[in-house]
Amino acid sequence: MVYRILPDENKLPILVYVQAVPVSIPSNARKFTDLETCEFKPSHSSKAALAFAASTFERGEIIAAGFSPVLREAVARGSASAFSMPLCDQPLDQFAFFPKGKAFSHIIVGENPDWVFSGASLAGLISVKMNYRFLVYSGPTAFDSSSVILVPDSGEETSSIDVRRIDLSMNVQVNPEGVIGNSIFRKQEEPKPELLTASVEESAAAISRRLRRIARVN
Amino acid sequence: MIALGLSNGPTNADSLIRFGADEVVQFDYPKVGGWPLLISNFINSESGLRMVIFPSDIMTNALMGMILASIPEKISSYLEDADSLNSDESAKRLDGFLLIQKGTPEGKTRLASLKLSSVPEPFEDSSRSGKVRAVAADGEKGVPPPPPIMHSWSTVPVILVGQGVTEETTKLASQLAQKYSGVLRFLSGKMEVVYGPCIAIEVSAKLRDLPEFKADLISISSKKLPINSIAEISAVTPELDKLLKILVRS
Repeated sequence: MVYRILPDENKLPILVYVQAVPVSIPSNARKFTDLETCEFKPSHSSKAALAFAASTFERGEIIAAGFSPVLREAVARGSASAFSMPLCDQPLDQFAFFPKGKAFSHIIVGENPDWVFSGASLAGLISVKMNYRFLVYSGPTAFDSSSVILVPDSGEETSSIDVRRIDLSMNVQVNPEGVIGNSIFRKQEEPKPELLTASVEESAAAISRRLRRIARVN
Repeated sequence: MIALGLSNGPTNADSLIRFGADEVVQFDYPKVGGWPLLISNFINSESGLRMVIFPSDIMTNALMGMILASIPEKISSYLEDADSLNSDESAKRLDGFLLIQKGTPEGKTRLASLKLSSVPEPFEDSSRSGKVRAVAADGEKGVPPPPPIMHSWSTVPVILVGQGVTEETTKLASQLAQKYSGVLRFLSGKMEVVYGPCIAIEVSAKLRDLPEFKADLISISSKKLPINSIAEISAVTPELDKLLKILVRS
């Protein structure tokens, strides 16, 4: 059964935080602010969060908030409007640019495990700062209003851009914003791929050793 | 090094000392405020606390965010899913780079969650000794929540099986997934990103048709394949099922 959650009677909007990630980090990047010149895309988790919001809060007004270069795509993926903010390397700094003085029925954040800070961290922080209930989406249910919903991302295919919304997304007003942060980048040597061609027993032993580091035995 | 736990928690203090703690602080779980309040109060009251480290996962990262929101003035730096930590800096891998956060001003505490795959396997040293301190709840005692059943997708191992493998190979892949508390997935266009560690079995697709792998990738196949060029470790053997059987049983 699919549940449709209607927006609150007082019709508060739903805010979806859209994490922008660089398509690739330039090889000469030294400081976080060097990302200013990059091309950006919405993170996979943010696309999942937008798809969740658009399908769950079908009749609600969805506002996408995030770094300016990805907001038009967010509108094409279902948000009614966009709120631009700078790109930060700290969740507390990012939160400082959230819309002020506005109430939302729900705030939705994707898992974003592949960014400097994760969606879990930002959602936890928002829940304390705004006194919203912290929820992790684990299946269709009714969501209390005034809650921040963290949407886990299994990495599976998300829905495509809605082509009917492309015109709308091109006309949406997006203010350009900058990149803020003190982190630094250090180029890392790419590990050389290791090809095991010895006996089956030796290959299994090498893989077992590696697995002990990266996975827990049940 | 101080280990924090609950007075009636699942891990006993002696075990934490054998794993390396010099002191174990055991809290009564408060009825109001939960873990964020406990740890925020501890950071506030413990002078000279340089860093608090969490095991990186979806709920601990949310907890870190709650603590940061509660006592921002006490926190000097904040990094999740770190690959390395030392006394000066925290670092995590990001697209071929190390993203580094530096600086520990006096009187402030660093918060970091550590990717568990980046630390060596721990061992218990029975000769170690340490102190145990009990901290009573300020108000009424509460019941701690059960351990989370949900883990971050970046910690869940994925056993990715290519097309056209035998029933026996699929069965062994499924047993491997069970052994490592992972999930079994079959390669299809539906898988766009693999966040967690991945064991790819007989995945013969071209690189452009593969999902994006964000963590460790191990490939096991009966012949050389394009995925070998991006996997950290690849085992190529005609005795594929034998290798899988050894991994399942070892």
